[in-house]
Amino acid sequence: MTFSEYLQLSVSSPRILVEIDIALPNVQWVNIGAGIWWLAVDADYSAFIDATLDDNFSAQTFVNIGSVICSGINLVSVSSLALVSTTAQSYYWDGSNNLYVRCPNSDEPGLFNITLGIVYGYSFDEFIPVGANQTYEGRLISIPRLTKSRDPLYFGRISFGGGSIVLINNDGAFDTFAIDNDVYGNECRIKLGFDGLAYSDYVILYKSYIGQLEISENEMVVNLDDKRKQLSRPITYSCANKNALDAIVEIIQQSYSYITYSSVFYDTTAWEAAKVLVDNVTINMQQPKPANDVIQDICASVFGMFDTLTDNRFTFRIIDTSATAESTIISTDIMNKIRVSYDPGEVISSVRVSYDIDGDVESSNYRTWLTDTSEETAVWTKYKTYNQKDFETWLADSAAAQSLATKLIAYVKDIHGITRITVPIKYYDVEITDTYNVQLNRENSTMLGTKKCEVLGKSINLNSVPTIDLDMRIV
Amino acid sequence: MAFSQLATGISVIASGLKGYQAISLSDITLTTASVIEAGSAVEIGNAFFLAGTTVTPNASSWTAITTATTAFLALTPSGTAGSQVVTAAWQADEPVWVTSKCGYYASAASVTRIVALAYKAGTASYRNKTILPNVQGKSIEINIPIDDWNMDTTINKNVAHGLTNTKIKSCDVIIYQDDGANVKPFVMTYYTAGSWYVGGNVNVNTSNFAMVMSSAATGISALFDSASYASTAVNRGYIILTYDF
Repeated sequence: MTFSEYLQLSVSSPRILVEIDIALPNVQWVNIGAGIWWLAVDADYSAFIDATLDDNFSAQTFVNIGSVICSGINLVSVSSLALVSTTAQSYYWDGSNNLYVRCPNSDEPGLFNITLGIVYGYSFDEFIPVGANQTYEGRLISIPRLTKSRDPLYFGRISFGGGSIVLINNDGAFDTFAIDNDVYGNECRIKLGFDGLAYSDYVILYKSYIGQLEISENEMVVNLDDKRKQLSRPITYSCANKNALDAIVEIIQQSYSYITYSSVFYDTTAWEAAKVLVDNVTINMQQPKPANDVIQDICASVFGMFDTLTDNRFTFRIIDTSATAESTIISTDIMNKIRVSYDPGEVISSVRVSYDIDGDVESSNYRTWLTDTSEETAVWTKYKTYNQKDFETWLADSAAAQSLATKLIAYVKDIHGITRITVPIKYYDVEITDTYNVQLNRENSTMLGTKKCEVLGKSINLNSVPTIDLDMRIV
Repeated sequence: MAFSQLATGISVIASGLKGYQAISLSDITLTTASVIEAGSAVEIGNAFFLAGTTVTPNASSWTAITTATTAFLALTPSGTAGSQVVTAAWQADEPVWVTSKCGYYASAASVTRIVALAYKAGTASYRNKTILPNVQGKSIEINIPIDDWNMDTTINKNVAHGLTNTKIKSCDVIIYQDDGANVKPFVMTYYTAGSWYVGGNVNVNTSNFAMVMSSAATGISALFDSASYASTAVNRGYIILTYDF
């Protein structure tokens, strides 16, 4: 059975795997093709080279590799040796003995510091998934909710997912874990599967990076960081009248030169689709600021959201509640009682959008403001409130500012009900900003009926029966 | 950082022989299509490849080259690592020198190695064939035949180069007498027996080596305006240039 088939079963036994990569430096490489290098765990290279030529390579002891980092660059995992030949900055682990890598620029490993992410696997119960070559120790105590959300008003600003994993340490197995191992900044993957499902078919629910470790006498807490949080290098960036998404690409490349605009690092299909929908920005920073903050400012300028996929590639989502709903979430899949909140405090009657920031805060022409009061009277008549909100943007001109103001006013001039629904794990691939038709009904009768909703937040609960809480804004 | 010592084993073969290139082309002085001769060997991305038999460049890749431009012979590995094969094809783009790979490649990140060039004078005319060096900073020396030139009757001759003229670092022109008795530089002046003798001048414009010789009509004693340089059945000489990508 496939993962999708297991998801549809009324009764199935979900399995959660947590994989933590421990960095192991490696210098034993044999060239096996143009720009392709081979590491054999058993150090037996006799299939390709004369044994008398080996450099006293030694057998190694690890059994599974979850990531390969090449001088700070995470190589992309591919599913075959043939794909290593055609995929830049990639690696292929055959699951048992052989690792093949292709370094940046197809250069030799000796020009880099290569560390292997040796997989330490954990689950709620000791478990060996079908086809896996290692035991997942039953040390997992809890996985706090994996959350991703955005503030309904601060467009573009997304809360980092993160969270933390708790592993049992009553036997002291982790007492010196933080001292003995190179773990910080390494990958951590949380996978979902089922009894009987092949290990290779497990789905990665969340891929993140290891942050803080807290080790006590009875547990170890592994705190996780979102990939975007790693984009924290302070930058001073300037551009003139540049497409907002091109600016983001430049900012990332300025901070991390190896992250080039390609399908290796970006969902280029979504990125290109969003690119034609966003306005240009003009940025003239005088003081350094973390790259991810600058990116979020740009997102707020163009009514969009910078996000990462589960394979860690960057993507961009445009907030468009008029988009066709992805599908319908039927009422029988909603596991909680419907409760809808209507908050007039979130209604905005007018907006001020700044644009043409020249970067010099001392200048009297530091920025120009555009005020849109076109809906003020209507909002007052309807909700008896005046509420003006300022939006500081990097937009280049008044036309772009007016375009954003129009979108903002349309989005917030009316009260929109917000509700949280709990659904089965089969909705694991729902993404923030997507729209769904949701059947908001009582148990035996209609409540609001089917309403199109925008996803504002997603929280995966993996601790018992896996479920997902979705924060939905009725469109 | 300094150089670090490699273990005397597979590491020396993979890394210590980087940049190695031993390529021979058939008919390198002729204008017919060349093949890479059997026995040629090349390192590409630290992997070594031997041409056990002759390797014929992809024919359609030559068709795609614009006439009167220079094409570059590209060697591209493909297939499963451990049993890769290398095929040859012509490409229009100039290569780049990749310092980490110590060779000319299609781009910095590419494992397509560029080993030779030729000027496409016509559908089946491969001129100026040249093997690229595997040494950084070494200019490429290209020999271009002048072909026929009756210098007794024609004062000038244009020879197309198909290159970026501003990347040409030097050029010499050698002229053969019809019977081969004398080989003289084209651009020269000398005095003997009471007379000054002048060869000619060369201007390298964006398309051609434009050679203009001194003729008897100018009143100066001309070296080549003579029945000794009249035959159109011989190659009149060579333009030897150095070129940097």
